[in-house]
Amino acid sequence: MKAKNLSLMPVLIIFILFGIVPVFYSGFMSFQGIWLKTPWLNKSFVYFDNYRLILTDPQCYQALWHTLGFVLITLGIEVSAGFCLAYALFRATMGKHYLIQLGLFLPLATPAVLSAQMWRLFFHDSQGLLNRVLEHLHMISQQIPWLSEPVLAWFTIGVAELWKVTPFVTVVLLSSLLNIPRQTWEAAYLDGAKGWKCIRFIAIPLIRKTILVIILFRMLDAIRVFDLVYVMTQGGPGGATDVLGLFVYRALFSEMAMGKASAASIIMIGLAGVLALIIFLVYRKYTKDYE
Amino acid sequence: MNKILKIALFIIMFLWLMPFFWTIALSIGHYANLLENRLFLFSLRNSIFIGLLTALLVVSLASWTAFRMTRHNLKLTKVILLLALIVSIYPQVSVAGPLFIVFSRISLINTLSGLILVYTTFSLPLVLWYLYAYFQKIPMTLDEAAAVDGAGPWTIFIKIILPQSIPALTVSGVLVFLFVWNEFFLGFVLTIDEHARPLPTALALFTSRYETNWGELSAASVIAAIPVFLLSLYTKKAFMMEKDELEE
Repeated sequence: MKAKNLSLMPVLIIFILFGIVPVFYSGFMSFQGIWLKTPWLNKSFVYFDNYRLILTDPQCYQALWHTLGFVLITLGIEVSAGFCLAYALFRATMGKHYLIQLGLFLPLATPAVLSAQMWRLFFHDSQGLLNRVLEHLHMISQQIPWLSEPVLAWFTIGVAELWKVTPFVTVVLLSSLLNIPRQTWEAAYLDGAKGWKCIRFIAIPLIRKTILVIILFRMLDAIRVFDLVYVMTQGGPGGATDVLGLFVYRALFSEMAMGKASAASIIMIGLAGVLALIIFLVYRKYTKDYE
Repeated sequence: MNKILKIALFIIMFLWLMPFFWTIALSIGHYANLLENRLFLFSLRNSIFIGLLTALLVVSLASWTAFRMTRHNLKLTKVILLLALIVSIYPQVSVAGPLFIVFSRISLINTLSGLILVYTTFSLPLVLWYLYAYFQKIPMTLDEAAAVDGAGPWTIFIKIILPQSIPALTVSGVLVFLFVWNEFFLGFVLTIDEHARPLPTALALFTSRYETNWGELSAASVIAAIPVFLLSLYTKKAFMMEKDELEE
């Protein structure tokens, strides 16, 4: 009995030591005045000062709203666009076409940093393809500063994110569409269902579990967005594209304020937890009355 | 109608791949310079080394653990699966500070072994879940037959389970390698020295050193992308084959 449990120990220890303990350590440090350079000296217990500091910081709210906006907008677009694409591919019976699969797979496999750099290059003022083409077609008189104008910067970040993530949503939804038995479609056809009705009453209800699971995972992923924004704009211009991940990073490595950074990351975990809980409740409600 | 749809889908796909074409176009003629860039070569070597070792470590740990979890009714199984889920979904920024402090204390900052430990932790969950599901499909009767012949769990694992799951093991190894090859944040935080940086970090910081050298950057991107595409095509094929087998 003991030997059996013992063989699971390495993995358990790794998870606890490197996955769970740091989070609790973070939670512990969020009540301390502690600095990154001298973490073993000068610590003091400051109760909720770090949280008070953050919750009165306009930068934090800015980052929070940006993150929430980013999550909601990209999630909305990627799920609806992914569904449309998947349904179109399914209808055109191209789900297994080699070229299409390649096109869906390449963006999905591209490292995030790489896609961020590629899109930076694409939108670059003078080197970018977009400005060059627009100039060539005489549609613009001067180069558009895609990455140094707040709204445009968000637009480019959104494009980069959607470019990478929409294929993922499409692949998953397509595979669950392909799993719907053929008889279901035939029965619907015999009953006279066409076009929109097929989508509304067959496709969506039958894959809604998958849709909710995708929303959950994509949301947890989007909350921790860091690499894309860091590489493309570094939060600029002037904090216009700041997100929570960058906020924590800056508190940690620019201000060296370990306590503040920990408190912010605990808030982030809380946010992720609340959103995950909401989706989970929706999931349970929907799947219950369906079965 | 169907034909219009098809053409439209192909056009969308072509536009979708536009940034790739542009990066490749800009990279032409800059490869020779890039191969003299020592920092890039260092990061390439670091990533290959870390990726291979992490893949080996994760696959061996996860396969043994998943085997024990499926073959015995252990209470810890649920705990481990739950921990795996938690570890894989919380925001990783929250562990950056604590790991940085502890790693600088025990001088694991800037070392490949430190990164291997962290990457092992964060890529274990996926592989563990995958292999757990896979081993459950291998019938228990095989184990029982071997056990009757006097084989211990270790022998069963090595001689019966592993040979049957080679495709799953390679797929998991490739997934871990890709995870390491793509991961940015942890590698970025846990390395300060330029020579210890893994590839994504080096790519992200490329421009701060070479402000306008877009040619070299795109060449570096192309080189970084090659193994990803080859390996992911392989995994895709393996996944598809498995799916087909299941359907049959």
